[in-house]
Amino acid sequence: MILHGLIMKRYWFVIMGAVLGIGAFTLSKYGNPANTGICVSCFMENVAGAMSLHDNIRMQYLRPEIMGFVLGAFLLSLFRREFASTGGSSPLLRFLIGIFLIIGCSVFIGCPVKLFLRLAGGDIGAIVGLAGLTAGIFIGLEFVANGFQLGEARPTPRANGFIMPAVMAFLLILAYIQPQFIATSTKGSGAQHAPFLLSLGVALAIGALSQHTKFCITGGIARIFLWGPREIMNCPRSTGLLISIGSFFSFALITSILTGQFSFGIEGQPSSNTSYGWAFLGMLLVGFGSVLVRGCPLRQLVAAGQGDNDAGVTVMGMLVGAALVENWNLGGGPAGTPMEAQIAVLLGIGMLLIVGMLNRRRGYGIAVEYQAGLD
Amino acid sequence: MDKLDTLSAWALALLLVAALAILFTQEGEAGSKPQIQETQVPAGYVRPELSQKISVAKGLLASNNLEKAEELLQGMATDFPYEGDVFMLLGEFHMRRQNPMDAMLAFRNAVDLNPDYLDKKAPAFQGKKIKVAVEEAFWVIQKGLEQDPDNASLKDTRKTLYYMKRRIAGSCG
Repeated sequence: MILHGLIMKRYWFVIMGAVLGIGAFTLSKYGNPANTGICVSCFMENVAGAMSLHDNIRMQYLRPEIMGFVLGAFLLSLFRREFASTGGSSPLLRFLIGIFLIIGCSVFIGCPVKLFLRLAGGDIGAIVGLAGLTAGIFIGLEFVANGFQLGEARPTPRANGFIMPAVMAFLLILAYIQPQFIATSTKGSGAQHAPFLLSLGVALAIGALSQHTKFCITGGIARIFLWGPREIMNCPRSTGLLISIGSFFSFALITSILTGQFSFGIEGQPSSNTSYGWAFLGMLLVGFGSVLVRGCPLRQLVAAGQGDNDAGVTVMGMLVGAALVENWNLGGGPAGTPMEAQIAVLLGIGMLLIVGMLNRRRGYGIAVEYQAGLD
Repeated sequence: MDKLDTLSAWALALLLVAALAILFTQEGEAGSKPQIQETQVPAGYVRPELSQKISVAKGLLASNNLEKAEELLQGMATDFPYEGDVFMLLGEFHMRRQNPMDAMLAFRNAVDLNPDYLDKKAPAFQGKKIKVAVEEAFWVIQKGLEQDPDNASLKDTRKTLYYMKRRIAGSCG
């Protein structure tokens, strides 16, 4: 009986990765931009554009995927009685880090999920991003292991936890009825999207499974440094996040090949450029920031759905970051990385170092709020 | 201050110097975004003079009167440097002259001015034409580099080719 339970649990990690990998390439097959079946940062820029927070007419669409992640996590957490409204752990700092998370992603041209999609699509240049993300996670862990803390989250009145799911439900209704005040691109990547119900269905499944398995790209990589091979050997007693990531990549690779979206090489890849140094630093910023706020951009959306107000504040920061990226030209493009984006990445890494230095209790180890899932 | 603080302080100093160096030398790899067509003229406005010249150039290309077409298009490229249509026609002209490398360079100007030429959902879409030019340019460059591997001009054009391939492949931004 116990063995059966363990196998079932391990099974969920594989299913999580499979749904994400197959779902993402299915979405790009049915209309989402190439290698961008799922990308939290790109989709945030689309959502910000739809809300007229920026005026790039090619990047405006209320992506149901973003709402689906939050609502999928929300519904499953309610069903499993895991919904808990918490907050109060340095919200403004998290907001700021949320902004820089999206800036880092935009310089690389993709969030950590898209990083793996680019790799699975054959873009070997994305390896630089993986190296940067890993380096950033390592730096973040150095701070966490040496007493970094943002303060422990406390329970808050239940209504607080409902805010983000309610906002997302409202946006989903707007996405469906498409009122005039919501901007929608008729050309550009904002106009490239899979059918509404398909996008929503895939996103709800990913959100729910992410809530169930606590899926997080940066969390999975972080555990390589924390536990090494034991992370996999001890699964499901450990978190199993690496199994999800392995499954995600494998299924994404198979789906990209089967659907004819695989194109191996370094040149001429979708959503890429030759600014490898800046791609590295952009993802370093994302890895570093994600460790400090306990989760990659996708994880922030999922945590916000299950009542984590701090993650909700980070999501708001991500939305503002998405608008800034478009308004201030802070993202990478096929031609390379503009000067503004280079400065923003350096400032972002510098800011995280200052945050890290100012929020450390010297002589202490891993703070309580970072110990969840590590035991 | 422990070891981590010291390392962080050094890293901060390094980042600050790097940021200032970039600021003062303005060495953005890509620079600012190219000014796109929509910002140059009010939406829906078509310059009568340009429109007339474009019609004439199209007629010249259709009738294979390439010498006159070249003269007209080179003049238009100087007079209307922010009009993507002019560079699309210039690209077509080079394709008719069986010069895919110059065609690709002209198409690059056009696409930088107006990304709609590569957008399947836009009425101005001419992606197939551009793709053919890029593919043909690829073979010309390959052949040229096989004969002269150190040819700097060809290597430079190859960078444009890779850029165009990335543009054709698409992006989320």
